[in-house]
Amino acid sequence: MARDTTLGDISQDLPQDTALAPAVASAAAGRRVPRWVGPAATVAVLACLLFMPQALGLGGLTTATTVLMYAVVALGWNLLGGAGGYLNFGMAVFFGAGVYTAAALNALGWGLWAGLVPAVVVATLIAVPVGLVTLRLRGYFFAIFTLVLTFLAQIVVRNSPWLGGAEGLYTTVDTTGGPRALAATFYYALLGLVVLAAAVAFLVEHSTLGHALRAIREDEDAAVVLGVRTVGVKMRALLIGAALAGAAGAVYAFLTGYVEPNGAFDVSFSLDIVLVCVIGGLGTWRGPLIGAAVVVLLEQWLRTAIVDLGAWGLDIPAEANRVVLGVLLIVFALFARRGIAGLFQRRRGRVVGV
Amino acid sequence: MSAAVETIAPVLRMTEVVAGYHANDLVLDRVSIEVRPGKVTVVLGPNGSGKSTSLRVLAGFLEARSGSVTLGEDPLDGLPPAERLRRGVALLPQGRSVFPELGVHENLRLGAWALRRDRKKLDAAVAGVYERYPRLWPMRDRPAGSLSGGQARLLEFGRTLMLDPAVVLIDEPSVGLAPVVVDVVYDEIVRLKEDEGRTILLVDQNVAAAVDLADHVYTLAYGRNHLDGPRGEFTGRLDDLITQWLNL
Repeated sequence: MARDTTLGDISQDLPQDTALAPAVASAAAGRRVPRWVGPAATVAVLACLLFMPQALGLGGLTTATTVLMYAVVALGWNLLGGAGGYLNFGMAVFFGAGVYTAAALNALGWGLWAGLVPAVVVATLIAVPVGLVTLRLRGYFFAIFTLVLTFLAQIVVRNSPWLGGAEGLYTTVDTTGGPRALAATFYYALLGLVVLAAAVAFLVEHSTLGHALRAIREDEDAAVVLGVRTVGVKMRALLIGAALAGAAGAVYAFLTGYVEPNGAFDVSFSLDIVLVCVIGGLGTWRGPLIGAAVVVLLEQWLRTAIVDLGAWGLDIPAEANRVVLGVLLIVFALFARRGIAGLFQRRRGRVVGV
Repeated sequence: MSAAVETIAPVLRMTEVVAGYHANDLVLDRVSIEVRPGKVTVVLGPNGSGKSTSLRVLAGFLEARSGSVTLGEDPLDGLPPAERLRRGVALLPQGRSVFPELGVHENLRLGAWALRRDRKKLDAAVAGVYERYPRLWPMRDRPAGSLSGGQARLLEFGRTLMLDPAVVLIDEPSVGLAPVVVDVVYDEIVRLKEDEGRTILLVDQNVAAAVDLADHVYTLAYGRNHLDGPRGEFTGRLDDLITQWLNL
């Protein structure tokens, strides 16, 4: 007993400790926000979201629906990508799997709600071999492999006649209630999925699985040393994410009415999901929610705003919005690694600069 | 934390192990090391002689191409690190290995990953470490990245001991630490052996300090066994050895 107190005493006196004082002080300051503020804000935001279909025009509602769709997929991505540090550039594969499952079943007469479960199952099943192959790879190797998977999926679907090949598939929905009612249905379906996905993300974040994922991001070898079965942990995160992406895909199949390989397995969608999480905040359940709203709204605004610059004698294509988003990604990656959610969080960890 | 004392730990042994990281590059060439129960075995050698690689093979991070690793009568070949840990062989890796953004408490809990489904045992194991290192308790909510070098080492020791391993493989325990802390780290290793009867395999570049603790010493050179013998055979010859390594 005497010895370890010595070890403690000595380490207390090391010079690094002096650098710690301001960090501890700021952490204490950050805790002054009362505990009820977080849950209360969540409930308030959710209440507002429930009445969106009544408050917004059809255009606004469509945009809000897109935000929710991105949020569901990003919440799923954030488990392995944000918490675990494994950049998956292939989220469109699982999303597209959901899209095509729902669309193919729709051709057999299945509706939106009936197609949801099979879409989740298929997306998850596809994630199993993907995980078995990729999750033994680390860092850049993993990222590049997942990027290639999207193209692979496109090629496979384009050459599958029973999935419509390059021509794609049409989906039909019950439109008796008129366009507004239909838009509201999609909105509420995705809102339900967002709530589910956020709850899952919150639970994972505060579970052993979440801690293990963060340990993997910070030092995977050290996690293995402690006996953490890292491949299994990463696999679970990938499967949960794929299931959520598949669910969102099923809704999208009906939302868009027509699915084809390049639209369902879109690389820029995969990139957008990464962007949403980086800007919103990696590894926290709030991050993708904030990021989805920011990225989707910014993207839509830029698409018109940039073209409007043409009135000044400039010839800028609408696609230039991707340049702006790209710059934003770099800025966040360099200067705000915890995203927008991180700006409000009490600072932790390496900030101290040990 | 007394299980290790009561049972006589089995011998951890690697026999004629050939291993390497690339197809045509052998790091270990028929290396044999016997880690005797309840003793401190030290492996010495110049840079690149295969010390750390031997530890990696024993801990299950690198598969031997030929030869075998056994714990008592049981072969360990092919078993992943998690399984070896379950059987009582733990590794304390070189350098900093705490998870900086996780709290001290979460770091400790990850040390008992095998117990994650058994809340009672897990809590008991965590409590045991706090009892062992009371200094960690007031820091339990702090991110591990904010700890000083000595505090982090303390946490790493605690985390390694979460599953009460009978055999502890220690890789370069004093690298990067302030000199005052280094002495205490070696005292801690003595405590693991003397007070708790654990078996220690220590790989170290700090030759004098390591030999001081050793019961048995192995030296490696060019990935092969060079010398081995009880500490007494080495104490007078350390200067010769080091000069010899520098000339290799």
